[in-house]
Amino acid sequence: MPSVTITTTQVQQLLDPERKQTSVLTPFGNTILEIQGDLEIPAMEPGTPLLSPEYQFNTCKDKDTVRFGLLHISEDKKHATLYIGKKQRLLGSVVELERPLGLLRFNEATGAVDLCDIMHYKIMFKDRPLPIM
Amino acid sequence: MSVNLHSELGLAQSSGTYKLVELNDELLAELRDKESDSRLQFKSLDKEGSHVVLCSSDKTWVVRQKDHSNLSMLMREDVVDTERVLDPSACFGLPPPISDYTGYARTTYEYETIKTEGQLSLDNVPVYNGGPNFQAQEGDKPALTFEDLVNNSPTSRKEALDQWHRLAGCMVAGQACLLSATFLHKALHVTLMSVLAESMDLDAIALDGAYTAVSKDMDETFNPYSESVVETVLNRFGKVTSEPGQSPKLWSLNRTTLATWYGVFALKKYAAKTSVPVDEFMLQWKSTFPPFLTCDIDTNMLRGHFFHPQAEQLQYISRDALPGDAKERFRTLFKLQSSWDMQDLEPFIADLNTKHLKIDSFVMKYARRRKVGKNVIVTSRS
Amino acid sequence: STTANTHSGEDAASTHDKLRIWVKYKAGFSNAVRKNVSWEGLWH
Repeated sequence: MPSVTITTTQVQQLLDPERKQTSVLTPFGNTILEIQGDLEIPAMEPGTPLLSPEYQFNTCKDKDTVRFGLLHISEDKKHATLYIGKKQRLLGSVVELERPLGLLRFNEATGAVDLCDIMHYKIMFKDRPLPIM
Repeated sequence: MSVNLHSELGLAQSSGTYKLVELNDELLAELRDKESDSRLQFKSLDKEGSHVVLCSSDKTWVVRQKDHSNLSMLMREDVVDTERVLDPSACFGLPPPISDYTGYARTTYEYETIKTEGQLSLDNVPVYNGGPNFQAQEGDKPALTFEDLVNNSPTSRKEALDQWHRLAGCMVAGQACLLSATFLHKALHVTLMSVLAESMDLDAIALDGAYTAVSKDMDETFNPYSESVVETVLNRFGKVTSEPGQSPKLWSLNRTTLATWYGVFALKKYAAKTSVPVDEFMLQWKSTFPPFLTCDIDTNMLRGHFFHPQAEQLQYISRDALPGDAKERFRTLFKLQSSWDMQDLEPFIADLNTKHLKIDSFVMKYARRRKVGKNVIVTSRS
Repeated sequence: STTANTHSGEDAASTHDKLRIWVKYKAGFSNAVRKNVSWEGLWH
């Protein structure tokens, strides 16, 4: 019968009330961005010279990345605004989750499972995008 | 505060690597408990077909995947390799970004957890009846220990242990097995006779003391009442009352459990084929006890094991022999006894109430009920 | 050369499509489906 013990060493320090997440990011620097809809972004970097300077390809920890937006969080950490590309503006909020979400990392190669973070908030955009004015 | 949002290129629609699981209060409590070893496990009976459960040290949940239609991206604050200064026009009047978040996984679902009862898988567990030629396992199959059983069952360890004790699980010749009811009865009787003969306190029994007492009267050739069997008896009919780590470990025997066990035994012995007057049965019940064992007895202890064929008479009935179908079950029960006290009836039909209705409402579906003083009397519809 | 031009025009259009950054809004939200998870499913 298959079974696996979930390692929890990393998250245990989060359960100290003083280290509980109070902001958009967890103390380990994770967050969830949720948008009601699909987010279309380039699947890969084009081999040809870029057609427009708005695409900002980059790298981060050996991974190719693309910049897709600019996020603004209000002073009181309640309201969020997201600019996508050059044309869309989304109004949203920082939502406290009814039940915290554990972030599980599955490593298929080693068969290990790690509960590596606990999220208490997410950044939520559930309204129709507005044009940028 | 403004932040640049990036995403790794080529993220799959849903990542197999990262998943989100709702943490209920009990899971959080388990994680927070520094005393416990916080052992959370995913388990499944097999790789396909069966479903996965999540177990803590003492609870079990079914894991369910809750799909949703939103985009959900897991992001972390991370410095990108090439810093680029944004053209002010690309800031849309916001303050310039002060950090970078990079999306590293997308997910289209969360796992939720539904509390369930852990179940020991007993398929490969033999029954031991105390015979001398017990074969651990057929052929070359390795003997199963209790820990093997826990590992092979969709259950937490605590739930497994409780069930193991309730079912009279025992280690015989290195193999986990269940004691047969007949052998368990003999083992209980011998244990009680021995500890009472030594005037031991039934609320503070140590295993080695009990085992030594049991072994005294045994002849040299074959003693089926091993230390493990005696321990099984103590766990089945009592509970550990000493603090964890205290030595010796002490058990207290539950008098009601003992009396009930002897009562069912007496019902099977004296009231299985014909009914017996209640007064007479009470004497027979007492007579099955080992000498010097004092327990209060009351026929209410035996609810779910007997019926009244007529007033002041009782007769044994095995729940296992009753029909599985609800209508049939009620019909059979009313054939045996036309009018039932609700409390006497309930244990015979409780398992049919799968929707967990109030028992009165459930019974109404199949029978009439009326109040007589404090009691509820149930009779057939027809 | 006309053919080549058309070809590169299509390329440019499809490259532009592939490079698009855009939120496609969904009017409804659903999370009604719940299913048990198999061991294989856990890892994929």
